[in-house]
Amino acid sequence: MHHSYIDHLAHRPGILQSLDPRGKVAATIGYVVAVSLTPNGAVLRLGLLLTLLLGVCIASSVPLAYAAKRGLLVLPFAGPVALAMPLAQPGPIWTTIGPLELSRPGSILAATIITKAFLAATALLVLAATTRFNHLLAALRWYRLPDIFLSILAFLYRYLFIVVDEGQRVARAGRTRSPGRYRRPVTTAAAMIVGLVRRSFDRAQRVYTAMLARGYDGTTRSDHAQPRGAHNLVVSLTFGVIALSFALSPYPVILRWTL
Amino acid sequence: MNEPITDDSPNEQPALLAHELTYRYHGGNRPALDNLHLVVPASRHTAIIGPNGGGKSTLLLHLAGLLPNRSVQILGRPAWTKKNLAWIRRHIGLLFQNPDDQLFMPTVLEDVAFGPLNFDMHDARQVAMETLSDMELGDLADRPPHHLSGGEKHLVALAAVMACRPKILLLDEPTAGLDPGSRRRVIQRLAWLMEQSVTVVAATHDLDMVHELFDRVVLLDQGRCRADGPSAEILANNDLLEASNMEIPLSVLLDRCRKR
Ligand SMILES: Nc1ncnc2c1ncn2[C@@H]1O[C@H](COP(=O)(O)OP(=O)(O)O)[C@@H](O)[C@H]1O
Ligand SMILES: [Mg+2]
Repeated sequence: MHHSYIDHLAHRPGILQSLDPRGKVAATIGYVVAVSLTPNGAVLRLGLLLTLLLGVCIASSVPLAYAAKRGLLVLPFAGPVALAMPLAQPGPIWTTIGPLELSRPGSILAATIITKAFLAATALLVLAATTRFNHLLAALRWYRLPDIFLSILAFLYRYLFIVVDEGQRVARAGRTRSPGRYRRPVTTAAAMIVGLVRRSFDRAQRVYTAMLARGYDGTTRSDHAQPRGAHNLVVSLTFGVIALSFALSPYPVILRWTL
Repeated sequence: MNEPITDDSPNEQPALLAHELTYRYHGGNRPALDNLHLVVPASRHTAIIGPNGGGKSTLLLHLAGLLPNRSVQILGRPAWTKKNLAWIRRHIGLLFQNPDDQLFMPTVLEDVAFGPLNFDMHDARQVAMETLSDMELGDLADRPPHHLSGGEKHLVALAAVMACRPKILLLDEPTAGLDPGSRRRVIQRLAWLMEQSVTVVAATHDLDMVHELFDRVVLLDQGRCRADGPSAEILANNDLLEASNMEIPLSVLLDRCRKR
């Protein structure tokens, strides 16, 4: 059985893993704000932000291919919006594909949207991957996020692996009963998905019952020695402030250079 | 045979009490538990046996206060109000039939510490580590539970329940799927707990274990109590056992030969 908890990199040694989770949350938010405030077509700034992210990944032994693959998961969401831009934005024509005329400003906008979505999503995923989930919850609680929101996050985290687990069982059972390269008809696939949802739901309910049996009362407790301390908090807060000021300040002309 | 065993000393508070307990699952065509009477004195260790689908797991869920029901009393309190249930769960441990339902934390140690942390036990992590070492599972502490073998999962789930130090321990098939060595360790552990005056109730098909550890047997079939009595009596009753898809365990037959 192979399925990855989203925080499975949290156990490796690395810079990100040793920082106070509260500071990390601040830094990540700073980074995401910096990304989202980047003007259209600001190649250098996006490049710098990308370099920053790459550096952090390397220093925290996050496999780059892993980070990139997870980051690309935003494409189904950002992609359609971005792809409409070259057609929708008026302006000089950049190139034509068949009957479609792609405008230059639209194409730049599309590339910017996709890059920004990718950077922001990857940053969040790297945060989640390198922080023990309990610690992340504790940090969010420290920032006064409502308890109900935190409980929902905790359950999502637990049930995510239940769905993956049940999915693997269903798939395995299907494979053993259909030797060779048998292509599943659509109706079978649909029945399997319905079965999967029902199984996951039942299982989630039993897991919840098991949690109740061991005293779960709605709050997630943890006694982990969290990486914390003033020194640590200052380091990550500084990181966040740099990222933020990077986004807000009148930066040098060279960084304003756009396509 | 259908008369429920009552306490030897009638003044003693029964640990568990089910009175006319009926339960039907949503969409079930017959009740999983049908007008069941059961008294478990604190000083008796009770084995619940019976065919698959007989209602053993459902009964244990009731006795742990996880299917709240007015017909059930646990340590003298009705398993009903929220306040009672929180108190009851502090004193009762339940080993689930399927360990996959019970293990949900990222590492074995965190899972075993989950109960002690929730019950605000002092030094929860220490308690968890000790429980694991006691069961010779210390090596597994940092492994993710979903990567363990079936038997290992089972033992970890048992450790997770024991770490809560319950007064009453409910076990759903505690020896199912274990290799002989692990089974022996579980049995020794249970014997030790019984000496520590923990009340043990186990649903099981392992009649040899019942013969070895339990003094009282309840036979559950189709949600009804078919028999309730001393284990020596019930485990030797071939007609009764065969009517419910079981047979006399070898250890009982062996004892019989020895006596001759
Ligand atoms: N979650 C459920 N939903 C519906 N029916 C169930 C559920 N769990 C058990 N049952 C039914 O209740 C009856 C008793 O089941 P159970 O208590 O698991 O028996 P045992 O543990 O003795 O094998 C069975 O007929 C079973 O099919
Ligand atoms: Mg069962």
